[in-house]
Amino acid sequence: MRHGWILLALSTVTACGAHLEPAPSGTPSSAQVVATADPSLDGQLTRAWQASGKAPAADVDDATFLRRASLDLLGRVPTSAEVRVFLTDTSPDRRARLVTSLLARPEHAKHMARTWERILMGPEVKNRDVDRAAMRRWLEARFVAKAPWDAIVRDVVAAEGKSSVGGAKGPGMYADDPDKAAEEKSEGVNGATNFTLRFGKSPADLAGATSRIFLGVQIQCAQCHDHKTEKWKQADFQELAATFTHVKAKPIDKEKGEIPIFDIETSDKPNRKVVQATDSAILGAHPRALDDTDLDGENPRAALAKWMTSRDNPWFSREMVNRVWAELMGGGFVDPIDDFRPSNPAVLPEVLDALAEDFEAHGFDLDHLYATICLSKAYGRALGGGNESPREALFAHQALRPLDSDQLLDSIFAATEADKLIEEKAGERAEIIKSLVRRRMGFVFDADSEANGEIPEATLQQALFTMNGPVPTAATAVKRDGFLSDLLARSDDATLVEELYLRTLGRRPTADEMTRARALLATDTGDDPKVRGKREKEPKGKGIKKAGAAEPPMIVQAALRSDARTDRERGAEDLFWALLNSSEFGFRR
Amino acid sequence: MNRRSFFQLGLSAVGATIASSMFARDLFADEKRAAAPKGVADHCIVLWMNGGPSHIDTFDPKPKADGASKSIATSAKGVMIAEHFPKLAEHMHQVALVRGVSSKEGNHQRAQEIGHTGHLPNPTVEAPSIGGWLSRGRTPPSLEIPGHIALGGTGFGAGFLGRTYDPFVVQNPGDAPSDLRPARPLSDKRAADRNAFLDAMEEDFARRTGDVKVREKQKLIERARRMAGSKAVEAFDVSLESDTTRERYGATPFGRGCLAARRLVEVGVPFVEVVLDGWDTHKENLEKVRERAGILDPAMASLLADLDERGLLSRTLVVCMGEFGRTPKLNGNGGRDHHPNAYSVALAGGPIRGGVVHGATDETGSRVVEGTVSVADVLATVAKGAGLDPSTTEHSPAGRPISVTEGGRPIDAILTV
Repeated sequence: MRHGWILLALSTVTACGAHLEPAPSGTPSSAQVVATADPSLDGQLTRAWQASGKAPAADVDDATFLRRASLDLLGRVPTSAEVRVFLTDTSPDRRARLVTSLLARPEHAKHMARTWERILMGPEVKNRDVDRAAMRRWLEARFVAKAPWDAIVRDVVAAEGKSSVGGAKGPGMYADDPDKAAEEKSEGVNGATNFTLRFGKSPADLAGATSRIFLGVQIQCAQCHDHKTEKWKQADFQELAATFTHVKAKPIDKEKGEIPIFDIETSDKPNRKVVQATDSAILGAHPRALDDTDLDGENPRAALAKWMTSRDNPWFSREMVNRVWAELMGGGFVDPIDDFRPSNPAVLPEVLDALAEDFEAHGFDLDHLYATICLSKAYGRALGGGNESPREALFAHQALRPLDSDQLLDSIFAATEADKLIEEKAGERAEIIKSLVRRRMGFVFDADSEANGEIPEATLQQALFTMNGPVPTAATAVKRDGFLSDLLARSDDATLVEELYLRTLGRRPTADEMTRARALLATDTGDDPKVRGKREKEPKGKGIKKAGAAEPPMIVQAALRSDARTDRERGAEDLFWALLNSSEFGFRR
Repeated sequence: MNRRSFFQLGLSAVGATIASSMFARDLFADEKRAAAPKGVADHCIVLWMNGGPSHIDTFDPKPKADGASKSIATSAKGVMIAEHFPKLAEHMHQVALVRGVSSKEGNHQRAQEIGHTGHLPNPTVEAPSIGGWLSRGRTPPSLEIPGHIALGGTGFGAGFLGRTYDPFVVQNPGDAPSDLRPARPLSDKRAADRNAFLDAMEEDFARRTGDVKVREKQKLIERARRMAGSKAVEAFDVSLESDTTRERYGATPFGRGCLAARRLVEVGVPFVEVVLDGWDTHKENLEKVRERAGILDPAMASLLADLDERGLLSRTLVVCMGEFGRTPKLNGNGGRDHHPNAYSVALAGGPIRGGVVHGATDETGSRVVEGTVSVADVLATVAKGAGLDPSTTEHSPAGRPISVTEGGRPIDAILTV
């Protein structure tokens, strides 16, 4: 009898796994070189820990490593199939192969594109001229093509050309739309221009953002006065900003209700029109880089891009290394991650320098940088537990970190297959609906507060949203054709519980958890009240702060409807709901 | 809210135990709460006029300005305001007009930030908004809903004071907040069981990790449940008011917001902001102002009247302001452009002296000629009037000392404290 159950369980696993994503681990194709750990980096870390008396935390188990790497590199939790496959891999280089294969996935490029869309474009409500989806598509194409970081930054900083193909404004304008990508290509749109366009009329703001984001130098403080603690003078700022006075954003098409199209050009002379009265000093300044390199000439902006990304630039590689390290380790060598200055020293400066040098030596190859850090001794450390941050602990341990709104949504999608449900039910509108849900989440989770590497603590609104909101409710419902109803039909309780734990927490349940979960499945749930009629929404007034105001169409009754008929089915919904609401799901550990 | 919905989100057995043992009563309160001086307000309502209202066509009428609005007399002797506010005119004996506000910032976003924080925008430190400061300092421990509420806008965050003091945002003013109950109704039994299961998981994870962030999350869930189950949460919902009352405030999102603000103050909320957008009148200024005033006038007048009738006006500071004023000259489109150089703010209630005017502009409203004050001064006045010492200083995470406002000094002439 026991054997029978096990056989049934195994066959369920195979059946479940078979139609899911392709296996994540496994040997990468022969053309692909498997990344390896950098022994000199590990040596540096070990010496630093010894010297400071920091005992490194234990190595995490494979399940935790997989979950961590998937969240960091793909922006979502692993699927149950991915966990099962990885946990059967016993080869010594399994983590290296895993990291290599995750970096090679299109999902990684998508995740990178979203991350950089947020950093480069900032809060979406603030500028109506930009086409941030075009920017994201441009970024994604560059990340897919494995473009080196210096080339990407040069193309962003010196971008020229058309900003958008235009088209109606509206919920669709943020969606992932492959047709738009093709249209942009055929019309010669350069999505990268949207960064320049974002700061359209202010060379000062553009200079400040460019310097801060790509070099980690916050020279904008010197906009109004000489920097109080650093060497930056107001003149330094004006000279840098002067580099951008040749930018001209020429409107090509600006119809009401349509995404405007601009042409970003470089004019021969400084463009007086773009400079606000307060910035008039910038007009008179001579374009110069932060180390006084002369940038004057036909195209000062292109000269700046070249200077910024050259291998001699002391800030360029360090800033990116610091950002990626902070993303993977929960804290930068330099903190805040974009504030390099003598009075804000780095921890482990020798490690930062070595990584930066290695990044340069490898032609600013992002995959190499990510793999090097992911395979380092620091990345696989367990949680510290205490109140010492990873940075304070010199990265001898990692720390619990809340998922950001994109990670949370993509993890809910991965765990519940709600994205597939949307695709089936919404057909052509699926991408639009997904983007609406994403924006709604972004609004509730305040994703706009642009990354200083810190994810803010949760708010009441977020707690209410995950507990009661339509997305988690719909996503955990038993649907006649959904995977959960299928799983319920073909599995015993133990298999069902295990599958839900793997999907959400990326690990198998402990014996205690199994007992509790099975008890929940066996509970008498009582009768649910009838769904009330949809509430009328009042028409919304005109307003500038409407981002996220649109209710996701997931709220419609159909998505919320549950086909659960038995206590066991309702119990499974409740178990799934609790798992999705748990801190273990909501945090990266 | 009925008993059923209380349980739907509900306190399960485990939840209740945790609530009573660990978090006791102080889920929304803070140790920083200090005893407030006598005579100050316990609540503050900011009516934020987004876009920058024309001072000339609202609280500082100038017959000599281009395309000027007519002025009318008010209940305050010698104080005239623009003709678009007949109802508010009856309340001017309760209002102090500050007509000499002057700033340099003509960019909406930056001026909005200054108007909410009293600090110039700084990319390295997010200065807390006045709502953040007041909700931290003035939230009573017994309050079961947040002490900082934004109706119709996103409000401004509490910065480094922590997200507990960030605005709780309700996008459709007058509606109950979203997600208070499960999107699909559950039986009480089911809700209690799944909550208990979740609580056990959380307790497990908190113990396993020993991490304070998990404990914080547990507290947050408890606060959310407590809020959803509280009677006070009904204060958001203006459908519980009579039709007559709602009509008095006006059948507009802003009118409903003002009514909700009154209800929230009645249950003890220290800070509420209600936003009225649409004051950026670059085109057809007069028509647009008239239309906006038609929304503001009944809403603010009813708010002052109701607060007064309930004996709450003496304990509630009401501020009506936007990010800047507008040019005395009309542009080619019959509109007025941004004019931070001189504009007005109206204050009432709490320790504000009614019926007074502080400061004056020249004959077209272009320049301040008497009693110049900064935006920081206005916010320092609000802070002092609402029982928060404007010199209160905290250190940002980077160790930088940040005060309630950047050098603002209260306008003592309009305060009784």
